[in-house]
Amino acid sequence: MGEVIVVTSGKGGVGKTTTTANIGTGLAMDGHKVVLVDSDIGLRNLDVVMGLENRIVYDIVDVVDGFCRLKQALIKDKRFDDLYLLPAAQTKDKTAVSPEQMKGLCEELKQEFDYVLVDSPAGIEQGFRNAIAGAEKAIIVTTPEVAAVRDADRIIGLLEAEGKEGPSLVINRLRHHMVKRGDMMDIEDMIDILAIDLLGVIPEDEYIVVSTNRGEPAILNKNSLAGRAYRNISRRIQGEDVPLMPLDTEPSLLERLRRLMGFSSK
Amino acid sequence: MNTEDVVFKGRKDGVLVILNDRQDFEILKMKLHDKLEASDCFFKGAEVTVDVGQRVLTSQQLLELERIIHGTFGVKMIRVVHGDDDNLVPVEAVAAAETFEISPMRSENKGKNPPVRTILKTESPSGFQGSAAYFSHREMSEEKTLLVKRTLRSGQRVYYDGNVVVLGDVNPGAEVVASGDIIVMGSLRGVAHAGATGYERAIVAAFRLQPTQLRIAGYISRPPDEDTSPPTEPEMARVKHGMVVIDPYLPHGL
Repeated sequence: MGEVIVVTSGKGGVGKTTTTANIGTGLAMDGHKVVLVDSDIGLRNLDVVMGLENRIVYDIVDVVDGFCRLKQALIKDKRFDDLYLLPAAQTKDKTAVSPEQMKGLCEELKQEFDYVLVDSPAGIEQGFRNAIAGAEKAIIVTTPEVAAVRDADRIIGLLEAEGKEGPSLVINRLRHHMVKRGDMMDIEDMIDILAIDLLGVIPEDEYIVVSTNRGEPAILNKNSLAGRAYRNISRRIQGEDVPLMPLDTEPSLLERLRRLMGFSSK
Repeated sequence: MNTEDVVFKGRKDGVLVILNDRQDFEILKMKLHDKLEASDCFFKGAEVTVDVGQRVLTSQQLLELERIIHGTFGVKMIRVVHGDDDNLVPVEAVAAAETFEISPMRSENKGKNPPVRTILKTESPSGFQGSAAYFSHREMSEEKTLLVKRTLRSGQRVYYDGNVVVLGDVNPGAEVVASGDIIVMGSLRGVAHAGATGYERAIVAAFRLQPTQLRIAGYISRPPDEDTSPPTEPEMARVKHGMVVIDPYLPHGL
């Protein structure tokens, strides 16, 4: 019996889909059976980020409407045999699925998979309600910006009201040099406001843009800082005790050289 | 010009409901609702044909129409057509989706990588009918063609029982399903399904053919995963020897 984890944020563009793709891939790398569920009906992206868009035949709405069986809609990843994607529909809207249907779907999926990761849409309306319906745990993604943290706080409140147990926090796109200058909220500030467990911190990394455009999660690239941070997060989800990556050092010249040549010190 | 957005007309074969194709769809829905309500069950049990003019309906919109007309007022919506005065061209869209017959479909695409650009990876799972059941099973008539004079963007879908010509692009995330041929006078980057009723001789041609996925009758194909160079000339896809094959478009080569 697996567990259902929803990745949500309230605010858009903070990295829910990127986080879902990377954590899911990370869990599959460690041999778990993982399914990623895109619940952003009408604005699906997870398939693109995973590089699986051209394999879609059936989607989540076809499944809940009974047009196809669940197995037929699951798309197997290109890289890992135990990683699957359940794509959202692009031509429908959020009302095409109800929270009850979503709950049933998650129940069915967790019989077969170790981890069911649900990528939530932005907002707090039905799409969000659908995404959290079947979830036991939640990962809140935020960026070090007041607006994103405000929305994250709102989401945590809604999750608490739904009786979902302790959500954990992923801080995305942290720029250490800006924090040091005092131009960006630091980790403590955010933990102070949100008062939930910190699951990980993802440093700003240009490689994320490359990887999402290519449809290859950054976690597959050992030289990507963000990829390494996601790797740590996926280990923590499996219960491993991994210390936070040191962010206070900009990569040294030597380190950069090593990375350029494909060697990594980590 | 008719200023009424929703008009009921009596015809030999039943009632025709004409929806103004220039009016916003949401407003139309409201007006249709009001008008049916005002008719005080007069149309209950009646069979109506809905004329949507030149509007291209999304499957969602079609379902919404069905919901109002049939679901709320118990009126049978027997046909949806693109009206052109007396020439009614049927729009057979996703409303028939309940009859979608599904057969086993592997989610992964196995098989060898065919040569870049000439052949797409083809997969024809036994008995895949795609959207076949959206349309009734019969040979498509050659003269019926829907002209779509705009670019289809992500999330937009065109279903048509006949040929479809798009004067514009079909972007990724958009879908064109036709029982006949599909011609795109622009870039085809989304999904196209030609010969959706099982007509294997259907073709898909585009000024720039770079689809997310191509389906012809029961064959599903997608471009190989390796980066391929974008096309530089008009191309045409069709089924040859059980595979979807892409050739340069030659006007006399059909």
